[in-house]
Amino acid sequence: MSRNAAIGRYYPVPSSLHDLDPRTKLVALVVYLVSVFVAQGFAGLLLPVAALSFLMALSNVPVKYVLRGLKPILVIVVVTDIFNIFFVDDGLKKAFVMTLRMVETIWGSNVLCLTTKPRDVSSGIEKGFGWMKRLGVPVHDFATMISLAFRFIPILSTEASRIMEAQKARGANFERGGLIHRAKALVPVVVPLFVSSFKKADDLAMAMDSRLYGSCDSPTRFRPFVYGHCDFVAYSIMFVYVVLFVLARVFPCHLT
Amino acid sequence: MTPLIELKDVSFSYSTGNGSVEALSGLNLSIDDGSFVAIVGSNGSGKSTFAKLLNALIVPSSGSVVVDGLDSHDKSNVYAIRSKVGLVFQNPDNQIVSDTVEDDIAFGLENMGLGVDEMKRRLEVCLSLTGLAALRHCSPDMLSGGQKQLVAIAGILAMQPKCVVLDEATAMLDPNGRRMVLGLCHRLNHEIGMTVVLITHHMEECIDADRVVVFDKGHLAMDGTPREVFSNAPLTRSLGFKLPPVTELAEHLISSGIDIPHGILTSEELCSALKAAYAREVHSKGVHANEVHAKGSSAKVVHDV
Repeated sequence: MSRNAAIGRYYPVPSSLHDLDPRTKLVALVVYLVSVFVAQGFAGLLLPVAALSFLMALSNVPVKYVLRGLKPILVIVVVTDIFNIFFVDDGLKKAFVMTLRMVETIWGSNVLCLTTKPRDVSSGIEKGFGWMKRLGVPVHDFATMISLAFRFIPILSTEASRIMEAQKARGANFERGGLIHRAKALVPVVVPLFVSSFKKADDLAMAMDSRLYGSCDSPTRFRPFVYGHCDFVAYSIMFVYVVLFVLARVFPCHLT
Repeated sequence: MTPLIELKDVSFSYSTGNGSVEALSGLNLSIDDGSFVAIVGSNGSGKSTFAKLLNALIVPSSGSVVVDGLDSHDKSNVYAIRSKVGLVFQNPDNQIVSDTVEDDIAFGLENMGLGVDEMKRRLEVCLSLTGLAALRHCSPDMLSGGQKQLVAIAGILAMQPKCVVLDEATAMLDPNGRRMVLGLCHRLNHEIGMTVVLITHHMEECIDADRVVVFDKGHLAMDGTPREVFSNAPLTRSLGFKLPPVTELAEHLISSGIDIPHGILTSEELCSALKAAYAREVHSKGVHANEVHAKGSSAKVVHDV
């Protein structure tokens, strides 16, 4: 169950990174991602790696667990590397930069997801995009949808393995045959999974309705956002990071 | 007692691919404030439709549902009705919204727009009422089915309703989980006078209710105290469900010629009825005493198992 959902799953350990306000972490992620994509030169590319290693040490999440989250992009990285190296001028350098950028992107998002509860991520987003409410965008509903999606990942994954076992008991085989054969074998799993998830969605909608979802224009939060002094330290570190980054950008030391 | 919920001539039909199906027709029923009502009936008898009507999730096609003076036909009453009548569903996984017990209990309160202090106060009350305090930081994935249903009930209690409706909420639970949920319902009913409507398939869950209502094909088939309903064994059997085990045994004893009254609900009652029968038997004949005694003790054994 947890194996399937290991990507971006919250890892509950006490750490100063876990305690930060989700808004701080989201802002940090945005700063970080922007820095990854505008980075040029050796220092610019390595600075995010250094920052991330520092954050990982703070997070108390086992390194192995964080790195496992990088597995899914391995194939993409290898394929793009092959194309870059063999078909592009100056490919080796470009492949290196590309790989680093992709790894940094996923790695950074992973650190956020591992240290922040899905519900906090979504309410952080809700708070951050709160101004869009005035434009008639149902921000609260979107945030609720995101957190429910996270909540139902393990439930649906359990359901999927249950259906697979039921089909195996009736003689289905998911391991044998070529890729196409295997994909075809999954159809009798996917269809009932869809049906049951619609049923779940329907039930959930009713349960939420009966608990007054949508009854109030401005629902309150059980855990209100409060900035602590940790958050001010975090913002200061971000500021230093941005300064360092700009310096690296202005005085680049190129790879070649 | 004053009626909290009144259904007057309620019918509800929903449309399927080929025409409409009437789930409930011409139902008249009122539920007293502070009572414990068990609703039984076979599948398709309209029990779940009934539950949703009480909560204004659906409104009747004809007739009216009035909760604490509020008619569910009036759209402006819908949220007020939902805050007075809480609904617990069958599948515990499909009704838990948040990723910790505390957050889930607070979900309804957030939707009501309450302040943090009030939320915390109500949360503490609910946690101590339901005995979930030790699990407050747990993820629902780590709880047993029974515990998840307790969380669902706690989430509803936090909204301070007058009535809790359990729509087959014990159907997916193991015996232990069922005991936990039922125990809580009875405690709420006794201690804070909560009105409880328990919809169930298990007859033995109805024994301690104030009132049992039997639905059959969208109609009200029987209505009375558990003793009144289960005394009428032929009718309950013809409606297609089994009597509670002890009652079933007592009915068998009666049909095999033992002189005990109809509608026995608990093993204690059965024991004293058998003792009385035994005493009468000894008094009049004295010969069949051993036979009756043997049956009396086997009855006890059967129940204890």
